[in-house]
Amino acid sequence: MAYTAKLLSIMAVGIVVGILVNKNTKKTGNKFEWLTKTSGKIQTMVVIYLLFILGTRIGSDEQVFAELDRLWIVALVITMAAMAVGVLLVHLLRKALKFDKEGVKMDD
Amino acid sequence: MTKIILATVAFGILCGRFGVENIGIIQWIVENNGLLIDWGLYVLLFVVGLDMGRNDTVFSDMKKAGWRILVFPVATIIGTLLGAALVSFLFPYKINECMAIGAGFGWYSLAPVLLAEYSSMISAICFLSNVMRELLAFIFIPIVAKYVGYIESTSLAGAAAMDTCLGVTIRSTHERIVIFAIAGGMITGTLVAVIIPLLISF
Repeated sequence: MAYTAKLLSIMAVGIVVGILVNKNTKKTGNKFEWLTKTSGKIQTMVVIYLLFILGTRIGSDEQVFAELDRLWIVALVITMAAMAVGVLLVHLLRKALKFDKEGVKMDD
Repeated sequence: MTKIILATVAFGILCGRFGVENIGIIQWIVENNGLLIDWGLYVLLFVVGLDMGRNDTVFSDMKKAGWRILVFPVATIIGTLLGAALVSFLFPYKINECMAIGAGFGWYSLAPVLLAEYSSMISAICFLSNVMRELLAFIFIPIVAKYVGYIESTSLAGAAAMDTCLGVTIRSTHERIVIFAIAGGMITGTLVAVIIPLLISF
């Protein structure tokens, strides 16, 4: 719980800084343009860093490494089931809320 | 990007498998895995938040579209967790582990990292599953849009609905569906960091 709270508050700080930067950019021109330009790059770099670390963890765990060729089946079944039930529930909800197939609200 | 990601993970796995005993830096990385992952996550979530905050039209668009837009992602989330939970009866993994794997909603750079300290096995399955979710979404979005419905197609990609899969969604549906995709991507994406730690705390 404490970990979740920590992660969410870091994200919230990011959102607030983002909103402030956005307002500031509108007022004073592109003073923070560098942030706009680099945030995508930082994100890509951090993702690559994280996935490399994750890879070393998976690779150094002998049991996981030995079973890698079997794990993808588990992953595939979970993914298909998750997507199918997700679509099913959204479908039922769409009918209940009276949206048509193309996502237009139908009048009662 | 997907290619770079798969190559990075593969390179990491090889380093972890064959480098631990021979290369000092790899040994250090493996020993300090938890700490390195935590700090990477902090930076990632901050930058993701920054992007969300800067994109102010998203919030106003969502407000305009109303509460109905927000209930569809809830159905996606419940459906995803339910589907993943059902699978736990087929494999020797606990119900909350299967749900946590599904709860990545296609965000394969975050979800497996959140699970890394819990279990390398579950984390590895989670990575594979969420890469598949994005790839399968590319394939199924046009099909579901055509035969089931436009709104339904936005639930397939989960968190990826708002970025990598947005293009295919627009091509397969209609402009008005974009807001469903963005709201869905944002809500499921934000909740990855909530639902996964919660599920594995049981």
